[in-house]
Amino acid sequence: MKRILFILVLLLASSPLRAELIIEITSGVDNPTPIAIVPTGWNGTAALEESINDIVAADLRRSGQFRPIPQRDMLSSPSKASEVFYRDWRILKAEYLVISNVSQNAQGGYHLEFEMFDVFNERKVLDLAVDGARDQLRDLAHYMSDQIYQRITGIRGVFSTRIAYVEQLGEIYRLMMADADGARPRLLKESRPGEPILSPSWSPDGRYIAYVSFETTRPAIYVQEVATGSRQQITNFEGLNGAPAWSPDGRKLAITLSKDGNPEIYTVDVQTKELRRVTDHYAIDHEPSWTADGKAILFTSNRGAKPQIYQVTLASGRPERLTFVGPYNAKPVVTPDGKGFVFIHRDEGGRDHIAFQEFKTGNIRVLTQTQVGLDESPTVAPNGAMLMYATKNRQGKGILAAVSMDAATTFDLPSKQGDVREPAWSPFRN
Amino acid sequence: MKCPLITAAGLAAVLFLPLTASAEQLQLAQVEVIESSPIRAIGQPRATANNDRNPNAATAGNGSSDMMGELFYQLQILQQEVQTLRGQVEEQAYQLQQLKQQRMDDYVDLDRRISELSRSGSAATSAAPASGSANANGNIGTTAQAPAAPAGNAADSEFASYSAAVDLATKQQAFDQAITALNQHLRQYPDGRYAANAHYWLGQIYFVQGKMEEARQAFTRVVEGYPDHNKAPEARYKLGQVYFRLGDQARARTLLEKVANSNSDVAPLARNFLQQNFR
Repeated sequence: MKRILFILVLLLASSPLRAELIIEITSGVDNPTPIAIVPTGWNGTAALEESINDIVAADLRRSGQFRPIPQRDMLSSPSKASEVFYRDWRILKAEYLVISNVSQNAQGGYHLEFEMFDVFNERKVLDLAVDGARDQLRDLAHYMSDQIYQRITGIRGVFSTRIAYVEQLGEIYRLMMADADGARPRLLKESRPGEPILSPSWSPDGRYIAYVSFETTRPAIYVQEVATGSRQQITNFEGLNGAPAWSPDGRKLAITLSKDGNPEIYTVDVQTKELRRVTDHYAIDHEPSWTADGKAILFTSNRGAKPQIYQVTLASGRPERLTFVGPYNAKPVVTPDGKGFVFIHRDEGGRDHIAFQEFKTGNIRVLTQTQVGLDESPTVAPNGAMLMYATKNRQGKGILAAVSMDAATTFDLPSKQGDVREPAWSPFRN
Repeated sequence: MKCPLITAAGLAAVLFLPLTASAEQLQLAQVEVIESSPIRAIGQPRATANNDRNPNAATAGNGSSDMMGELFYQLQILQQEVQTLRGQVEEQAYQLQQLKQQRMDDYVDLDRRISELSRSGSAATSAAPASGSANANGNIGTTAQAPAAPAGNAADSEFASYSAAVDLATKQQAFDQAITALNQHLRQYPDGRYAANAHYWLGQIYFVQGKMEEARQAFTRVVEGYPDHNKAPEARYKLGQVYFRLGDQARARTLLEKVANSNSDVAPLARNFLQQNFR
């Protein structure tokens, strides 16, 4: 398998809060589609803060499904359809060619136009324009990547999505949000020393993040609006309040509470705070995740002595065991298409990896191959093509890593400072 | 009953320790969290949570609390025992179900092979059915369902005529002669039991020859004339490809999606083709 090492261009890394994640692609598919992203035309006087074509090329490369052709190999750099000579690109074996132009718009923001050509069939396959504010150059670039990706693969792109994660610097915990490529990290909530923040979870509309904070000296669940930062405390029961997971309709959270003696799964209505107990067993029931239809909840339980994954149908309340392979299976997360779930799977050698199990067949596929075998906290991209998880690098530092659901493409997102963990991939943003 | 464990740290420990059983796991986030939490000061020593025998009999005192301690200890052991047994029952139920499924699959497989044997035994007198070698597109299985006990000479000669025509195409690659022979067969047995197969083979041959319009007509005959025939899904799949080559993307897609959503043998091929050629 090809090993590509690739460092994302670092930008805007001035503020101390911007502890950027750096992306290193560690492997890719054997036969990625060659695509030429011609440098974006710009008629302004001052140089642009961001290179749109570089961001797009990096996005597509990171997906593992594309091989952007290096700029230095390009024989020409057309910025208009009339300047495109297919011959130039056939020589480079480019299957697709993308040209783009950015200009200032009337509102002081930017206007981006881009066109994509199918080199072999010599025809235009995409012609789009988009406007953004002054600080949205990266958003424009990610939009362009999404459109290109979708036109060629038929799958919706996730380059415009976000990831939330927890960063730990000494005793301080920070709930962060960054672009899916790790750029532009923003602080959502910073803890006082020694008061952990845990388990961020996006609402299905992407407007809210639920998480656990120890700020009242015991774990409590909060829901924070991403855009405004306004917060609402959902639970503060005695004992454990943990692992919030949004229902598909965004109305409820499945949570773990130990208020009645030992950890059980509950659902809580976000508006009315109405509480409903789902499981009832003296063993530990934890880490809920809803099925796509919202009718059942998967969870981890050690009611059979070893932690395994169970599914409980809300109507009947009857739990049924789902995992049977291996001594330890935990932290189920149902995939966006609802066909299966990813989870932490411990192998015979005691290493923890992320695996996928299909509901229908029960077949398991192990997706991660890390040496350390300390993979945890899986989260799936909204298009179901990629999975992100937390692990440790060789130096023992907490990093985020990603792998495609066919296990062919992997990349790491080590943080420049501190440990990062508990990634949560946002839904599509509209 | 007295339950000495209800503090946040104690519960957090109860929660995570059994779930993260191995030593290396202790370095993970959750446990660090517990340790760095200020609650620890008021919390219980987390060892109480572990499954190992650590009776809280440590809280020794007068006789009745001794008894309570002993009872609590017994209860813990019983719970643990039940959990272990439950795990075993779940696993055995799963294995049983797997075995049942396996047995069923084996039986179906055996049954299929036996009935194939008995069928080829009775058909041995007539020419053995051409074991359809896949052509350029690799999606052709066996030529046709073996004739179910050909009754009488009429059936025999019908099969012979069909089989000879197909052999021309598959074994000798004599496509033009095969077309003639297949058309001849269709004239002779317009409603014969191999009519659908013959149309299908005509389509295949035209397709290989690049005669898309002729291929379209032939496959359409199968799809529309014999919608329930076992060659119909394959014909629909090929017809989709024909339309694709003819540039009628919309119709190609409709057909291929129909095949892709069916549970026929060629559904994966159709899905594959859709994935590669449509977005």
